[in-house]
Amino acid sequence: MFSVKPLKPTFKSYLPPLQTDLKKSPQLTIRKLEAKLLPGEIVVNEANFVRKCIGADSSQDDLWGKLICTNFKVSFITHNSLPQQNFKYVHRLLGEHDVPLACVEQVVTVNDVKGKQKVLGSNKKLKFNPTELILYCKDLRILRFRFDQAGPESAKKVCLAIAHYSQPADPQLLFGFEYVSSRYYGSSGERVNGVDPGGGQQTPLFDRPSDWDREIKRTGASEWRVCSVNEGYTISPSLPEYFVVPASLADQDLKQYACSFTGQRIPLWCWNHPNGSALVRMSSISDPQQQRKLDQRICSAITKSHPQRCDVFKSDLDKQLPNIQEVQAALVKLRQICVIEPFEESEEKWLSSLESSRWMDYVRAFLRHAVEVVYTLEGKHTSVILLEEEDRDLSCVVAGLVQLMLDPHCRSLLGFQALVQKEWVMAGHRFLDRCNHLKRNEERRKEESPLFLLFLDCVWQLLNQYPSAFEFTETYLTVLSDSMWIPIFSTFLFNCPKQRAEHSRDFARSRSIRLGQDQALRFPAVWDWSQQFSPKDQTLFNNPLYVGKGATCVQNGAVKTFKRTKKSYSSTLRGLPPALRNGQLSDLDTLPRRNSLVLRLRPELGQAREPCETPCERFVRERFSRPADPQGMLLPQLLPSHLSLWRLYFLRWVPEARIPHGGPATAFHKLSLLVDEIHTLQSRLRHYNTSNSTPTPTGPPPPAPSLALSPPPNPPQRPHSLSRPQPEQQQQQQQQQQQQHHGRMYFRTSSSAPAGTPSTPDYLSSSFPFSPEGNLCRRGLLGTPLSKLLSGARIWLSTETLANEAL
Amino acid sequence: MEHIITPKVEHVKLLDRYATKKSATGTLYLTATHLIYVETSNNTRQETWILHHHISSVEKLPLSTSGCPLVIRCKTFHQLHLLVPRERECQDVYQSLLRLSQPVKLDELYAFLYNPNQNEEERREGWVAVDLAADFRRMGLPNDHWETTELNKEYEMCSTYPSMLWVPKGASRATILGSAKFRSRGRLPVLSYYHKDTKAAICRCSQPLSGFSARCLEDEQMLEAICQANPNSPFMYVVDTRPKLNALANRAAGKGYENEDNYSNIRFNFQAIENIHVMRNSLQKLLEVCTMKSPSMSDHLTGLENSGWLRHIKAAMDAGVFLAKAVTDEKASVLVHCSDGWDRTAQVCSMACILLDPYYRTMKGLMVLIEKEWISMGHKFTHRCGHLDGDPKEVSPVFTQFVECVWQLTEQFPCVFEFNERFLIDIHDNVFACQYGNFLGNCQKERKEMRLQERTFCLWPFLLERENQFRNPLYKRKTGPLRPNTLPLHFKLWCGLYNHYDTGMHPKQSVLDRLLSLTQKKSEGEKHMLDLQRQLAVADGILPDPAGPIGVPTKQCSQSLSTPTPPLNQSYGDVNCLKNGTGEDTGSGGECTNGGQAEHFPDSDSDLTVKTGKAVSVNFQE
Repeated sequence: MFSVKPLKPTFKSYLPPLQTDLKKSPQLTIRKLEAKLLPGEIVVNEANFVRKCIGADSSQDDLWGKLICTNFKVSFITHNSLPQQNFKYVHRLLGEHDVPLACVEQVVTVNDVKGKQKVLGSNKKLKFNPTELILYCKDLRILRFRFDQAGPESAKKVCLAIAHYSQPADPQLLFGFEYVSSRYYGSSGERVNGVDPGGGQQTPLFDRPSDWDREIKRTGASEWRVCSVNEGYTISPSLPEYFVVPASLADQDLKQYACSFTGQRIPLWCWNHPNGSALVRMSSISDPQQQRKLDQRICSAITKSHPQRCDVFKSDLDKQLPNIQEVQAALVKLRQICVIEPFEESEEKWLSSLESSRWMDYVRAFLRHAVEVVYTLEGKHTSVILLEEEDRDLSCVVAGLVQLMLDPHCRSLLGFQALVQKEWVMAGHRFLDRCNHLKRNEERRKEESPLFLLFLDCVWQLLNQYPSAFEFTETYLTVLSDSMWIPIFSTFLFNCPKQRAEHSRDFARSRSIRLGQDQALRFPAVWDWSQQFSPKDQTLFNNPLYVGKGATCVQNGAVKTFKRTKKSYSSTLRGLPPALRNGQLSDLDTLPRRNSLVLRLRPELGQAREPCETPCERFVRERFSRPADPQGMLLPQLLPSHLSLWRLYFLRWVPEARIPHGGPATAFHKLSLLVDEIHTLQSRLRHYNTSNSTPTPTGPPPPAPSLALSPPPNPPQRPHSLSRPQPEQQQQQQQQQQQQHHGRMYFRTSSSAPAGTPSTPDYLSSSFPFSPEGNLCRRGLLGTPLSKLLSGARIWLSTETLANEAL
Repeated sequence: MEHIITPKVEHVKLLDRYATKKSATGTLYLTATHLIYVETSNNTRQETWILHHHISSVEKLPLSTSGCPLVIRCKTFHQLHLLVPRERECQDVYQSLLRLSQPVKLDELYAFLYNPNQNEEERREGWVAVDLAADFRRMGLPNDHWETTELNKEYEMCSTYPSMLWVPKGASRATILGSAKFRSRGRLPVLSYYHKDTKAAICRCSQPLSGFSARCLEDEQMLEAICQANPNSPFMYVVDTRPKLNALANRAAGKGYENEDNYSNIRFNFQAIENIHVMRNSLQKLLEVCTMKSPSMSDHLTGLENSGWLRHIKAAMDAGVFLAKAVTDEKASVLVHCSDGWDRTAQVCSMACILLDPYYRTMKGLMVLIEKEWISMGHKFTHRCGHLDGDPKEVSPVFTQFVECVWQLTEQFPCVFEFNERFLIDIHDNVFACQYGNFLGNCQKERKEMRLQERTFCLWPFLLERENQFRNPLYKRKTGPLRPNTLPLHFKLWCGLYNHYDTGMHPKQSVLDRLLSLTQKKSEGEKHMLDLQRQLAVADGILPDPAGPIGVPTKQCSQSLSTPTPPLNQSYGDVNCLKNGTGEDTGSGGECTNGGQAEHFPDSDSDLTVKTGKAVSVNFQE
């Protein structure tokens, strides 16, 4: 059985010892409560004798400790432990009660004696001594601290510090700069503290031509080439230095065309279908006189790059999808109903509240749009251009989804990371603006939008419908979204590669950092997960159901059964899945918008459509009548009943919504054990097949291999012979086992426990591996829901209005 | 057969529910028991079998240019839209179906015709497979506090109760008889479940005939006796599962609820589950949502909410949770009633049993539970399911709700049930099918009079035969009491039941299928390993060789590897057969090809519903 033992250190950490170590020495006194700091991190302000609220209704479980504001995080240090010490994965950068400043959305101070409250902004004044501090976080947590016993001045200072430092005025004030630069001092700058600053196992970052070359080869895009006209970002500020263009376009042409596009963005190649049709993204043409000509040039170049010289289909995303403000408004509403005011008044109205947020509607719209593009690429063998004004927002979502549906490589962990790197980071999604890491004003607020979260939600919907097609789990997706709020990773810190380069160069210059061979500071990518989690915790990312390429272990016996079943499902009397036909693709309701922040005229879609089945619908219908192939194309089912709320993400902190001993985590646990067992058996088989060292039936068990369904173990189907193992075979086996090391399951059967009777660990719940304890304290004074105190709907929407009203 | 005017109609179109363009053409057959639609095109033959008993309504739509439309709706939520070329034929089919789907006499029910090739011995054994007395023994009864009473042996005290009743030892004969007189239809408080660990009991009854002020000393003694039978709690709960308003209204009719002042040591509680009429209408609305043509997200969500269906499911679940909490947390006994104590009471008691006792989460256990709380305690299956032509107001999806409650639990706790969704759907379909005797009649007395055990067969052994399909691969045996979360957001629409026949609605990749195959794979691997170990031992001369030389692959091994697994998606009465399917890999396994028999219309459809598929055997020796 799995037991929660502290892991032996498997590598030498460059990080300070974790704060949890503190708890093991209870003799420590209050005086010794000190913040655990990262390199470059400094304490700004702190207050002692602070109470962190844990329970919603009573203060009996509250923790006493010290509240510290550093230039990186809000840290609460205590040596009390939580009432029910639930399982929690250990974060290497953050302690149990820590929140990165970048994750703080809103700082609210309350004085319940005077009945005052104020939302603190950067450089704001506070006229009263706070008795309470409430932090609303971007990852949907709500933390509450009480200052009853703390010194009034220090409490006030700590609140002001948090408010101030959580909204830096300049990107270079984000903690990542201090953190990364501090690691350069005293080192040659080649490899920083033993970690490859490029980050990650082999996740390509697409910041060098070779990554693109490999991608071209992988997708067989022979008529496309890597171009380097933008080296040094001389042409376009928002494009990467290297990208891929039709082979027929010369650098000279590109330079000439660039100035007519919004942001000088030359159309970007994303991906090639095996049939030769390409997925391209393009910004709008700003020069109206050039528009027609240029349009033709680009289209004909793309046509030339198509093996059948097929025409190009243009898909205008701005006209068919919600804009970024609408997506933002939907999230605000959704978190309102999930986190702030759930289940009291809205007991009976859960579904209609969900409906009114329109979030699910938008998820569906993006998925549906991606399906249409998939149809054009796969069904019509036609290249597709995704058109968007700036080509930096909606295109990222759609281009990502299309590739996930069509390319099984993108459903592996590395493939997915490469996809995000390619379509989001390198394509210049404005993470800095969309995450709103900086000081908030009305203008910046308009730029804030959770598009990446929306993308992750869409991926989750696919994962939910095709549970064995993805190498990763929903925990991975959740943790990835949380990483957006840790301002250390190059991935989410900048608006585009150029911005990263400039800022890191300037910063290095201003600090006189010797960069060695590098031209700029090297920020780690988020993909190096060992920065945040132990190898053991990283196995939470592994999907036990994943059928990787050639994972024959499941395919030879089982998948056939699976296929047959599917066939009998599909061979219906009606012959086609009728529900899908209309529900899915016909009548593209054009998302009637309520409360749109920006009113834009959108042409009615569907007028041109026939009332009967469109080719796209037929395509989808025919696809659905075939068995699903986890290694083939995945099309999501889009009837409303097929889409569901991503519970883990939206409800993990909500204590009322937790199902103790239940939820998908229990299935994950059992599945991991099953997979582990299968692989133990397989390796035994291999062992018996390859060894002849007179094994008795009760011989010593083979070295316990821990394999997942991926990477494929591909058991050698050797002839059943009792031959001596060849040295090469042994070597091969060892290699295999090493490769498989990272793919093992989080939960494993222990050899001692009798197989088949595992009991669910007590800490499993629907929130696993997260825990609501102390992370969602939304009740206000005297049991009044805080939402009422703060006039509900405006929380998380506008600091200014709220501040004015509250005072 | 006398009701069948036209047994065969050709060139009938089966309309797609959504589009008019793609429609199949085929032949419609009417048999004594089934409506069969056979579509042949491109060498494939597809058959749809619909049991007449499953048909809930037949509707003739106005004549159109292309023919005469006929809409058939089933109790299993199957919907067929047929287009019959000539109006005359349509009228014939319509009239026949009207009559066939609403039998007047019990003898017309399919169960009395159905013969699954069992001999009398097997039939007898089948009927005793689920033994309620054994279940009470399992609970540790009889003991110092509870005993059986003979007072209802010939159903003289209460005609809708079973003959064997469990009552507290402290209740005298006079108390029991007196209490029965004070309860609506004589349904006095009797034991439903005994929780060994806490000694708390769940009892059930019907509403008291209290009116505005009436009292009954015996009834008060009866409750006192129940309370006394539990040494662990000084009080007991009395739960009225109705909304308070309904209970109040009943007082005017001389019924009502217990007055806390008259009974010592009771705590009274309402649970607000709506009545059968509200539930019937709610299901109607739900089905409208499920069959919407092309719903937008808002249509779907608001429609679902307005149907109120999930709210009712939640109410039943909440009441079950209340009972379970009372028993485990407060160690208090509970007495449950609604109006007559056969609808909501059955739901709530059986929910509590499932929450409390892991046994009821096994296949066998669920069968016992259904026999105990529903069949034996007099849930009026004939009326609620509309087996016979009768009062439509008596029909209500009470049992459907119970099945859905269990499904909602399986969604929250994927690893605590031995069975999967298909088991629940299969039971649900069989309740309406009248193919087996279990769900005929309204109470035990009626069933005895119908001599069901001699004339029909018992469903449970047939379900257990197909255990492999119904297994939940994630099942963990060691599980305690369940504490489901009953926030509205945890209740989902059960597409698997309400859209069971909309093939496009099914998940394209079912974890269940995958896991069933994985577990099979695992046992194969284990078997193979054992076999190899044995062969090694033989080769090393440690073991004598029982099966001949090693070189010959052992026969028993290959047999064990190819354990037959019937196809997983069997749905009652809907059989899709492939005949010479081109391009399909029929060679790989024993793909079902019994289409040839279709014209003979065998009396039983058992050989058609059960396709004999063979698992693909994995030959490691290759």
